Amino acid sequence: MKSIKFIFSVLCIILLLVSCNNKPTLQKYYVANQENQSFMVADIPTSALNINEQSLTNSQLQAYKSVEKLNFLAFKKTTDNSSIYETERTKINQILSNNSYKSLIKYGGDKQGAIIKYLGSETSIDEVIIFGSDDSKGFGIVRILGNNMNPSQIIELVDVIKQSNFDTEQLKGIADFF
Amino acid sequence: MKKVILILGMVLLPIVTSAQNYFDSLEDQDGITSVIVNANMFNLMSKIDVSTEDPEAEEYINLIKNITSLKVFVSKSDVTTTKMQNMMSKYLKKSNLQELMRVKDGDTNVKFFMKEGSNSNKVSELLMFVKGTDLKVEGKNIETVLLTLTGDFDLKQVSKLTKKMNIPGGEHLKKAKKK
Repeated sequence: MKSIKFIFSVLCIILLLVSCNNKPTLQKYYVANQENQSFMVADIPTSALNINEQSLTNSQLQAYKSVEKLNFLAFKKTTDNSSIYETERTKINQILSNNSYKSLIKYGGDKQGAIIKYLGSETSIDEVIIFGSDDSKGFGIVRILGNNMNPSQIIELVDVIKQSNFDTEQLKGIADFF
Repeated sequence: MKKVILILGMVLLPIVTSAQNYFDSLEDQDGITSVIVNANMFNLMSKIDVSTEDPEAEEYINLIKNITSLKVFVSKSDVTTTKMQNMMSKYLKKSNLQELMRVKDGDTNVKFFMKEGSNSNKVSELLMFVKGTDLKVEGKNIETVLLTLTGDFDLKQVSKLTKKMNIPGGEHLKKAKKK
């Protein structure tokens, strides 16, 4: 009986240690690859939407304010870097397999794949992650970062975006990358 | 000692019996296209404020609230079709799903299996298997579709959803009546 208790407590300690382990996060991954030539990293603040805050209703403003920025990272696949493509993709999948990332939708095609996950709770989302890959083009991650983003406000947010004078030139750089 | 075993059992039970993960190995299979929508997604979707004046939208929200997972696997080749078929027959044996109905429509065979839910009008699991030679999804030829839906929902609502999602075979569900 004593030995069982001992084993049990050892197990508990191991579990604790594992959960405290300093795991790689997406943020660290972004920072680590910022300078890397094969990657493109972009930060798009919500202010790029050029929204006149005065014209928003209170609930629209609240929804708009809850989103901070879009964070974008892309890797372009060429004939020379296909092995890097595989290792980097595995790295990201490993990061995203962490339990704190809650899975929403997963799509897997022949040569393509996409995962949508989020961080936070059902009524207060901190981050939405969209990770897509295409074996012929490369992969990209979009992170929607914010504070207490509430899914009930999505409709409000769509209304806000409809009103925006978004400067599409800013996205052109991203499109040109592939 | 008994307690320890009991606790261990309780911890391991969901891992061992989780039928939901049975088809997961199909996800990374070459030649199979998969779409997995998790309970989290349905939870979030049910929280979206939709004007309840639209009866159709309200019906969707009601259905979504009661779904815990949706998995769709589409295969385009004979090899993957056989694999999917084998997996399904094994799954049907061990999971006690009952056949709901079978439809033959030209070259297309559609089979539905289900497990009863919280009351006699509800279903806790629905499995649809479509096999055919001239199936088309968005203009592309496909061979087989395997769809599983878990939760606690009304069959009539599902046919509307499958129709909206352009999943072939789903329209037959309208005719389905629980035995």
